[in-house]
Amino acid sequence: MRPTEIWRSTALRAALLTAALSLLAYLLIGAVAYHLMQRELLREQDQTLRETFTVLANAYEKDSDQHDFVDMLRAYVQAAPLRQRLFLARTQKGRMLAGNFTPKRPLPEGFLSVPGTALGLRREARYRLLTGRIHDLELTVGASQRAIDAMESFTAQGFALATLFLALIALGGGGLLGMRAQRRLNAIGRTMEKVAAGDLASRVPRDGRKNDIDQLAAQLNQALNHLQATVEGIRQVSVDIAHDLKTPLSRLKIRLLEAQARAIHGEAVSEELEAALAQVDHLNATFEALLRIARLEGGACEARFECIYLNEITATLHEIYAEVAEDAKMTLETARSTKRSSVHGDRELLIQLGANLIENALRHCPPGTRITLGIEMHGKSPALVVRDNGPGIPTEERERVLRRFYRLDKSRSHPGSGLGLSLVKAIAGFHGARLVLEDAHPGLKVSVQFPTDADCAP
Amino acid sequence: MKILLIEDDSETANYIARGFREQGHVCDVLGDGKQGLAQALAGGYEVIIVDRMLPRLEGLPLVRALRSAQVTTPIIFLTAIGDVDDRVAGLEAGGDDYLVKPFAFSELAARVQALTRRAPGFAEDAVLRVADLELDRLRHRVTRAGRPIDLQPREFRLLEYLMRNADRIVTRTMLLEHVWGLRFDPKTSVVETHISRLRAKIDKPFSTPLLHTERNLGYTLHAPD
Repeated sequence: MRPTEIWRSTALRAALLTAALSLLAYLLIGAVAYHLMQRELLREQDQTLRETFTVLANAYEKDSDQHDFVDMLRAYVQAAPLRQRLFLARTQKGRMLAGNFTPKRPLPEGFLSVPGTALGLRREARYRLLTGRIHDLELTVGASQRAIDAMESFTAQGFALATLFLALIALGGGGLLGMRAQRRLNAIGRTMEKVAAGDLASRVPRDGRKNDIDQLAAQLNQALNHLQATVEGIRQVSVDIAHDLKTPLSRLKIRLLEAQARAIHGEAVSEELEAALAQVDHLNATFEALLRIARLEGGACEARFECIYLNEITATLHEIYAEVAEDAKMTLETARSTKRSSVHGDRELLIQLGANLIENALRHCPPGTRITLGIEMHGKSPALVVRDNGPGIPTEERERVLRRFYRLDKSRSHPGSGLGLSLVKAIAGFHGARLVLEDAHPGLKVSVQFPTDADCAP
Repeated sequence: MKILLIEDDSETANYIARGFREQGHVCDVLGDGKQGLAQALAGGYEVIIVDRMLPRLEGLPLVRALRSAQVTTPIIFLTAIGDVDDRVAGLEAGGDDYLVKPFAFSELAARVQALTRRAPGFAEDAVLRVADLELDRLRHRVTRAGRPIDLQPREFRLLEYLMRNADRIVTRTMLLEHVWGLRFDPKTSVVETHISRLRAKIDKPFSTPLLHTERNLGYTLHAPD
């Protein structure tokens, strides 16, 4: 990130904004505290002045001798620390009787704050004066505000220093935190750029702190895993499609070329054309199956789903295939289920699912095989089960037979697209059901385990 | 018969039109949804064949427009997509049948025949007869030359469909759709098995066969010539 772009970082800006706000709050609290302290100090000083004034006033009673009072005042003045405390006694005509300062202007009664220069003092300090009348005298007592001023300036300096430290810590810390968050976001951004550029194996680095950004990274990685798997699946399927459609296409071409050659010599071509048509039908069936799988896996709408009794599905399948099996010298037995277990689904698709499973058994099993069709209950979840006692599928092949176009080597010679079980899996998935292939000792047991559906419970 | 074909792919359109004309029908072809709609509204057709994907006006809205204009002519949809949802959408829009490309002309011709037979005015008899074969739909009884024949329920429905379409070619997919309710092509010989069982019951014991296999096309049930 370039320096000019650094200020666009949300994390950094949030951190700095937080720092600035806490600093502002600190300043506000400080200002209030400072003001309160200042008011308290002044109040205390005024209190002291008022007490001094009262003591002096009481000493100069009505009948007292003015000279005695002036002498006492002079003693006060001499005892007072230099320029710390002020006293002034004047006649009503303004003649000074005693005191340690000479005001340049007449002093109003009550409290007054004035700079020292206005009192003929050379000091820059400020003074607080209290002026009042006692009988025939005008008395002023005063005190230097130097101590208060010093206290105030000391406090202010301390406060300023504290503010500075706080600002450094808040801004620095916030900045650091912000930058760290930004670095994590940048790492995510770089990964996404790599993914966009086609490197689907790239993953966001984790720091294991389990904070929000780390969790976001985990979620992104999960999404990337899914994306990578999907894309690889599509890639694989494209290769498979290319491979498996190329074969019938090239056979078709051969047939047509042969027909052409025969036609040139005036020979009959109907046999070649018939074979070519069969190839076209095969190609078309493969495409149809692929489209169906794609639609189902794309999770098209479930609008036509209804409650369907599984034993009605097995009965229909039995009716369709019992005699077909008989002709193939096999038997199809359907366990009559008294339980009316129902699922939420599409009748046509469920019949196609069962039909594909039965046809698989019919195609890959030798004569004499017994195929059984039934419904099993796993708790409240029903399963449609097709079982045969034929050759079965080796354990290590069971996952692979569900893949598109995958065919066991020994079944390459049988007709078929290699899409039958993929379609079954897609239909099962569309119904939220699980397709399980097991060993039937001997033979194969295929279960389509439906989820428990409260809506369709009998 | 006067047939209107609305299809924009000229090669497909020519193939279909040529087929119908060879059968002695009149077939008008339009390659555009709007013109097609205007022509269909002009009337005089016994069947309308509409492609789902058309320039200017697609098949579904075209058929909806026709139906809302009280045109009751049987309509067959042609489509490249054979999914259940598409088929249901087509039938809901007012189509009577649905044929997925690619198809053989014989398939389309057979469906047109079956549809026009069922058009308004065609009464469904309680008892169907072909030569000496009789099927009583109400009493669920089949006899040939007066001898009762015992049929399984599916065989009965198969025979009923064949008899209702007597003298016409009935294709394998039509049987799968109407007799078994299957909209996909089973890889095993479901139709062949049941046809041969039916044949064993209605034809084998008698001297003249009624149920005939039309090579590469389908089956017909007809009286001996």
